[in-house]
Amino acid sequence: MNEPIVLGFETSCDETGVGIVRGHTLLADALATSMAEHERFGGVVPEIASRAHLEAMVPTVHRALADAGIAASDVDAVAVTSGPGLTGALLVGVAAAKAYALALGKPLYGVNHLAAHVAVDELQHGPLAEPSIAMLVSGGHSSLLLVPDLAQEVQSLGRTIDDAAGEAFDKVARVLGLPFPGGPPVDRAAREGDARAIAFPRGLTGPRDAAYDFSFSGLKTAVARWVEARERAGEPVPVADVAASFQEAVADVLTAKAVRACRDHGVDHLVLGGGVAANSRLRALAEERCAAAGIVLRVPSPRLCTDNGAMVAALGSRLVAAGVAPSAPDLGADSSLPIDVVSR
Amino acid sequence: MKREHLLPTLADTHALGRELAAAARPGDLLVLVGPLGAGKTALTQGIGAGLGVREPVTSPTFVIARVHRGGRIPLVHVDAYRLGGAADVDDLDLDASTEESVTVVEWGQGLVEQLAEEHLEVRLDRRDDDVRTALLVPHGPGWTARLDVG
Amino acid sequence: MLVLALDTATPTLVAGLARWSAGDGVTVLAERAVPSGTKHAELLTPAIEGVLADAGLAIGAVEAVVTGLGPGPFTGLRVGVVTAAALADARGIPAVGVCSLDAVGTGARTVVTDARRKETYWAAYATDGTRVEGPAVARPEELGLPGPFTGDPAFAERLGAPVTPADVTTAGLLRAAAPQLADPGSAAPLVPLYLRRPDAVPPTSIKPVTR
Repeated sequence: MNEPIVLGFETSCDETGVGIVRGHTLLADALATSMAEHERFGGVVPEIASRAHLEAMVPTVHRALADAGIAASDVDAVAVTSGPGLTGALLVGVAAAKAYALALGKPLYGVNHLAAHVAVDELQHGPLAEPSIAMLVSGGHSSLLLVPDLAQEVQSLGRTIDDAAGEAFDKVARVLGLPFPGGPPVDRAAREGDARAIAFPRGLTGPRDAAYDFSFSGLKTAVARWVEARERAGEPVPVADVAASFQEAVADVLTAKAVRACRDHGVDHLVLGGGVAANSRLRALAEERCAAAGIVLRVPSPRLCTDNGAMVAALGSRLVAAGVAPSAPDLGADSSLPIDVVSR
Repeated sequence: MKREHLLPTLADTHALGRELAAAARPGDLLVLVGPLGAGKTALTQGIGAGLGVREPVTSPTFVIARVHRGGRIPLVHVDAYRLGGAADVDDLDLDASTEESVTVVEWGQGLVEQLAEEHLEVRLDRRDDDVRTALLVPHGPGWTARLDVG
Repeated sequence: MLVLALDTATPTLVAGLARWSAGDGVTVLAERAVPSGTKHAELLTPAIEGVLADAGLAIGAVEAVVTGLGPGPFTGLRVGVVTAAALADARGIPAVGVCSLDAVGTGARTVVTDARRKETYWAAYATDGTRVEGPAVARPEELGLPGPFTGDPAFAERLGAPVTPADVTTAGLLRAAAPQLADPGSAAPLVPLYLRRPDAVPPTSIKPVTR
């Protein structure tokens, strides 16, 4: 087995992730998170996240190397999330990765966080069928992608025109008095609720709307209005029903557009990624609709859907295998790196 | 420019944004005040369009701040919900200074006013019939004069 | 001992290579000071490769890393600190952190650098170069120290006194690191001198979601 070993760094938000892969084989996925420090703020505080990344960096590398049972000198290439994300947080990972690459005398690949969310599935389900449609939904992103070649060509089909899907979960959780981050508590509350109780709007689903773009701002507003009206009337807010109906609206729009993108492009493979892909209703509805449409659905386990270093190493591994040129020595961070830039 | 605006549709909110963009100058600070869904991001989209920004202006919540170039003046769009104060905007190390940009801040009331000598407060609200309202409140002589002229 | 010195606490990043010994002190072999603004992450590793090339040495020859721990603007500061920590970790060599202000100027002085928010980072030093006050952050008008001042001349007017322009230097970093280099086992973990807490406050009363 002489496939290259890639060390991957992820620090675009609150997770300090260091992953190690050999080819498509996951060797280590070490993670430190500062989420507990952010919860009381109702969102990730950039300065707190950046400080935590710095503290966690070297210990997390040690943990990854120990888990993989390798020495740093065994590493053949280094990959790092160069964007999109929080600038200050990204820079800790970029600087660390550049230093490890320099010290080890190995090539460095600055990669796109979103493409890495797609690449991670190869660690669980083997090489990606190309082309695939990929749908990435997280706190910061909601994108539909056509992926002819994950190492070199990713095309954006659509994206959110206002709020990201995960952001809508966070803001609806805020309205319902549920904790941050909003995804898991809304998902839990929804299990006890009736998804058909309230008909919340499905954004951008009209015949003349952009087929692959998303809008969750109107949905968020509709939930806030509905809850306010109840509160003004002095009535109790049925949290479970609101959560279930809101979640249904999100899952409905996301899966309908993803399946449509597959059909329109004659693609029969769909990959989900990003933190919102851990949502139980989204997974179930995607399963159902893909089965009906004859589409093969691939969803990484929830642990790999959220941010981690293994996904960055996985994409780095693809880049090495494809012979893509490493990044220039002046690699930096780009908080709004466009999705069609797989590596830079 | 009128101080009070009724905004029945999204297009009206965008139009007010374009009107504000026409009056905007480098160094301006706009503080948008209002509840969830009052149209803060929509207004900023209109300001972006008015300045000539081509890329989509989407919610900055996840990254805290986005810089949109390519228009008449750079547009810095900030969600201050997770920031403690004006100083944190400097700490974001944006590749644009507040002096050369129009800075639009959501959720920044009481936190970011000292970013500039004066600022325009835009109070947005959403009525029960879903019509949005906007009230322009100038803080400082420059904004007062500009609103009275327009 | 061949030492790599780094600092990203000010808008001019510094990378230097020097020989150091307890007896003979510091001999700087190569140094680059790069005006980098907010581009520390982009420019630091190229600067390190640059000084290695200037001195005709490979990274494997470096026996210790010294880095400035600030105080300085946080985002740039972390670039230098994490670079030093990662380089030292990957090579299995000691990493030593020093107060960046110690590496600006020599002798009796008060060092002032830009802390943004119209404030200055400062520290005061005795004739023999030992730090007697600071590091701390203050408005220059309220500093109340006589000087002489060294560092960022932009503060001269607000201090009401001249400021001798000076930047962080490789020699300064190594002088400040001497006690730790003599006994690397004593080197403290690399913790930046932030001096300020993150400003965020829990958004309880001030930011109602709805009314």
